[in-house]
Amino acid sequence: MKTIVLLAALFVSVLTMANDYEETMKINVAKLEKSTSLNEMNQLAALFMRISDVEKNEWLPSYYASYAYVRTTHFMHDADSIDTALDQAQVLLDDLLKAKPDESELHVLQAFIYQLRITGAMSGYKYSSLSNQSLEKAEQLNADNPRIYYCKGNNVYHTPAMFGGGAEKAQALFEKAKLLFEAQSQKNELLPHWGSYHNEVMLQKCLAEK
Amino acid sequence: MRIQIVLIITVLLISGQWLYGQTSVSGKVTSNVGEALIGVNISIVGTYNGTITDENGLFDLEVDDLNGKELAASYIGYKTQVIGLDGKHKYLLIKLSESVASLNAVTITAGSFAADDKQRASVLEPLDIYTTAGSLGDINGALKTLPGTQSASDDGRLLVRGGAASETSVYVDGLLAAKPFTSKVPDLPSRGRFSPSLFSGTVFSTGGYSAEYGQALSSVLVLESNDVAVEEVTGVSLMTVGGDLSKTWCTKNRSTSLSVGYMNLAPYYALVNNRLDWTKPGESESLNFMHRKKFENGGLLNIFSNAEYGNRAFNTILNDEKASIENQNGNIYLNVNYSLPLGDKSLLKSGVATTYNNDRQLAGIHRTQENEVNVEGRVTFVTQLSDGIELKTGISDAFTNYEDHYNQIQGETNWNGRYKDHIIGAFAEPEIKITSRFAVRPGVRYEYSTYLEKQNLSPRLATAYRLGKESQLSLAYGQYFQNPVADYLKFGSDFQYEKASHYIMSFQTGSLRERLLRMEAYYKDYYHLVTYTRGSHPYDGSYKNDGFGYAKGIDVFFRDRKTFIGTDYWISYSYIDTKRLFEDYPVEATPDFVANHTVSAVAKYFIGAIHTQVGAAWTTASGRPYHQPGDTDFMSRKAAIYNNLNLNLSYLTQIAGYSTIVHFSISNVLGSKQLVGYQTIANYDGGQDYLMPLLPDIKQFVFLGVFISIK
Repeated sequence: MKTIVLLAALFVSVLTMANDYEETMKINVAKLEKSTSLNEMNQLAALFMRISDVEKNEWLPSYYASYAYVRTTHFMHDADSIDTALDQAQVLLDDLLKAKPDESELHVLQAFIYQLRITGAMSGYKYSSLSNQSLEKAEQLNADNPRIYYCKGNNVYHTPAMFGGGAEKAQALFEKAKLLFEAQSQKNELLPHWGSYHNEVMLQKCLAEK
Repeated sequence: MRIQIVLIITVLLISGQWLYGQTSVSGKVTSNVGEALIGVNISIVGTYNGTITDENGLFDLEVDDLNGKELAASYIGYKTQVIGLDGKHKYLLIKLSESVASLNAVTITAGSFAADDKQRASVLEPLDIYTTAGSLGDINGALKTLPGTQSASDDGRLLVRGGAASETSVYVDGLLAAKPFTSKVPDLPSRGRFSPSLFSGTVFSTGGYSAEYGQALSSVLVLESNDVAVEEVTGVSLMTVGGDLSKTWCTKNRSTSLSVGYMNLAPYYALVNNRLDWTKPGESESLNFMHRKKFENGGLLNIFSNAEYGNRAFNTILNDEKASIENQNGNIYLNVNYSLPLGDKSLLKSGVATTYNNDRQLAGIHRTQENEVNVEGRVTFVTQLSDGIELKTGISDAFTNYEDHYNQIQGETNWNGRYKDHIIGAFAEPEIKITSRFAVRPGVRYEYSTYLEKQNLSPRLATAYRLGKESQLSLAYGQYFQNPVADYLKFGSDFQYEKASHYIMSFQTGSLRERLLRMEAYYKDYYHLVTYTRGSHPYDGSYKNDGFGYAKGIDVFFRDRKTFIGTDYWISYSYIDTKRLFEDYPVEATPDFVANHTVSAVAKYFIGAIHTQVGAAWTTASGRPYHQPGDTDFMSRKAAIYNNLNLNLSYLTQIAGYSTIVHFSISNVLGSKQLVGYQTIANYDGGQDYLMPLLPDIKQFVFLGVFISIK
C-alpha cells in the first residue's frame, strides 16, 4: 500500500514537471526565424538539443538543432568558425540520416549545408554537385517539398549562365517554391517551414534583374 | 530501501522547495587542460531546462530545486558529464575530456593515402583522381604522383616502395579485383581497366596496411564504387581515341547504370610518329554495368561489373631481330556484394567477385594462351564494441584456376601449365581509441593455400598519436605474405610464400583545406623471394625461394590550397634505397624498375573568367640502374634522368543546353627523350643477353575529348 502511494506521488510529480513538448517547440521554432544574434541562435541550438535528449522518439528537435547551427553561420565572417558550425550541424544530421534515410527534409538540410561550404571556385564545383545530388534525393522522396526548389534556385542563381545557371532559370524554381510554400502554409507548424521569406527575397531579386 | 525513499521524500517535502522554490546553480566548464569551453550545453537531466556557457566558460542556471537532480554538461566532441546536485554545492567546476568519437579524434593514417569525401584523414579528393594532368582517365596516373610510387611510365601498374608490380593488389568494395590492369605486353605499358568516375572513394596504402587484406607484399589499392545514384543522366563522350555512351536510371533507393565504350587508336596513329610499327593499332570494346539497391531493412546491394575485349598487333625489335607481337585479351569482372546493418552498432558485409581473363599472345615465334578464373568470396563483420572500440573480423576464400598453353609456331616445342589454388583467409582486427589522442589497431591474419599446402600467420599493428589540433604521429608494423606469381606457380607447387615485413613511421600536420604536410620513413625486409638460374629455361626446375632484400626510404607529401588564391598544388618527393636478390639476379642489386629519387609536382588553377581549369603535372626521376650484358659488375650502370611535364585544360561549357566538359591534354610538353631505363632480355639460346631501351611508343601524346551529360 505504502509503495503504491509513493509511486502515485512520484507519478504526480513527474507529470507536473513534464515538459510541454508541442508548446515549447512551437515557441522556439518561431524564434528561429526571428533571432538576430549569434548568441540567441546558439542558445536555441542548445535548447533543441536538450529537448532532443528528453524526447528521444522525436526527430524534429535534433533537426532544428542542426538547422540552428546552420543558421549561426549567417552571423559569422571567418571561414574557420563557419566550418566548425557546419561540422556541428553535420554531426547531428548524420545521426538523423541514419535513423530516417527517407525523410526528404533531411536531404534538403544536407544540400543547404553543402551550399554553405562553398568558399570559392574549387570548392564550388565539389559542393554544388554534392548539394544537387542531395536535392535530387530529396525530390525523389517528396517532390512537393518547397525547400528543394528554393535551394535549387539558389544553386542555379549562383551558377553562371554559361553553365545553365542565371537569374532567369532560377526565377522559375523560386516561383515553383513559392506556389508550394503557399499550398503548405496550413500544415503542422512544427514541421519545417523555413525558406519562404528568403525565397521571396530571391524571387524579387530575379525579377529586378530582368 | 523503502525507509530510504520515505526519508528522501520527507526531506524533500520539508525543504519546501520541491515544487515551488527557485534557486540557481552556476559554475565554469573547462577542458582537461584548463581552457574555458564556450557554448557547452548545461542541462538538468530529463528536462528542457538549461543554458550554454559564455565566452569565459561560465554559466548560471535557474533551477526549481537542486536536490536529487542531475546536471549534465555536454559539448560536441567531448564526453558528457553528469553531476548529481545536492543543494549544498551551488558553484561547480566541470572539466570535460575529449570523446574518442570527437571530430578531432586521431585516425590511423600511416602508410595510406585516402581520396574520399567522407574520410577526414583524406589527403586527396575523389575529383583529384581524374583531374590530374597526365592521368588520362587512369586511376594510377594520379596515384603515381604520390610519394612512394615509381613513375615507371614503361609499366603503367603501381610499383610501390621498391616492390615489383605484382606486389600491389586491388580491391573493389572490399573484394579482390584480380586483373585490374590491361595485359602487359612487351614494350608497352598497361592501363587500369576501371574508369575513375565509377568510384567515390579511394584508399591507396603504400605499406603497413590492415589485416583485412593479404596477398600483397607491398601495397593495396582499395576502391569504393559510387553510392546509389539519384539523377537520371545520359552521358556521351567523344574522344580522339574513341567514344563512350552511358545511361543511369534511378528510382527511389535504386539505380542502374550501363555504359558501352569503343576505343580505336588507328586514326590517331595515322597522324603521329610511332616508335613501334603497328600492324593493328589497339582496338577495344567495353561494357560496364552497375546496379545499387537499398532495402527497407537498411541492406545495400551492389553489383559492379565490367567486360572488355581488346586486340592489338605491332612489330618491334627483340634480340636484334624484328619480331611481331600480337595480343588479344578478353576480361570479365563481376562483383556482387551485400551489406546489412545489424542493429545500431554492427554491419555484416558479404560478397563474391569473379574475374575471368583470357589472354592470347604471340611474340616472335612464341605463342601463349592464358586462361585464368579468380573467384573471391568474403564475409566481414564489423561491430562497435564500445565507444572507442570497433572490431572487424572476416573470412575469405580466393580461388584461382590458371591454365597456360605455350607453343612455338615453327617447331615442336610446346608446354602446358595448370594449377588450382584456394587461399583461405581469416582475420580479426580491433581499432581501439584509447583516448581521443591515441589509437591502436592490432590485427592478425591467417592464410592457408591449398596449392602450396602451407599456412601463414601475419601480425599487424598500427598506432596513431595526436600531437596537436592538426598534427599526428603514426607508427605501423606488419608482416605480409604472398603466393609467388602464376608465372612460377604454373611450373609446380614446391614453393613457399614470399614475405615482407614493414616498419613505418609517419608524421602529418595541417589540413587538406589549407596546407598539409606528411613525412614518412619506412624500412622493409623481404624474405623467400623466388629466384632461378640465369639463362636456364624457365621450366627446368631451377626455382628456389631463397631470394631476399630490403627497401628503406623517405616519402614527403606537401599540399597547399591556401597560399595562391585559386591554385591547388602538391609536391611529392620519394627517396628509396633498395636491393634485392630475386628472379635471375646473380647478386643482391637495386632492381631495374627503381629510381632512387623521384619528385612529382601537380598544380591546378581555375580561371573563372573563361571557365577553364588548367593543370600541370611534372615528374622527374633519377636514372634507373641497368645491366649491360658483358659487364663484370651486375647492374652497375645508370640511365639518364627522366623528366616529363604534362599539361591539361578542362573547359566547362554547354552544348545544346547540356553541360559539357571539353578536355585537352598533352604529355611531355618539353619534348624530352623519355627514356626511363633499359631492360635486359635473357637470351636462352646461348647468345649474349640483349639490352632493350625503355621508351614510350609516342613521344608526345595529345588528347582531346568532349564529355556531354544530358539530364
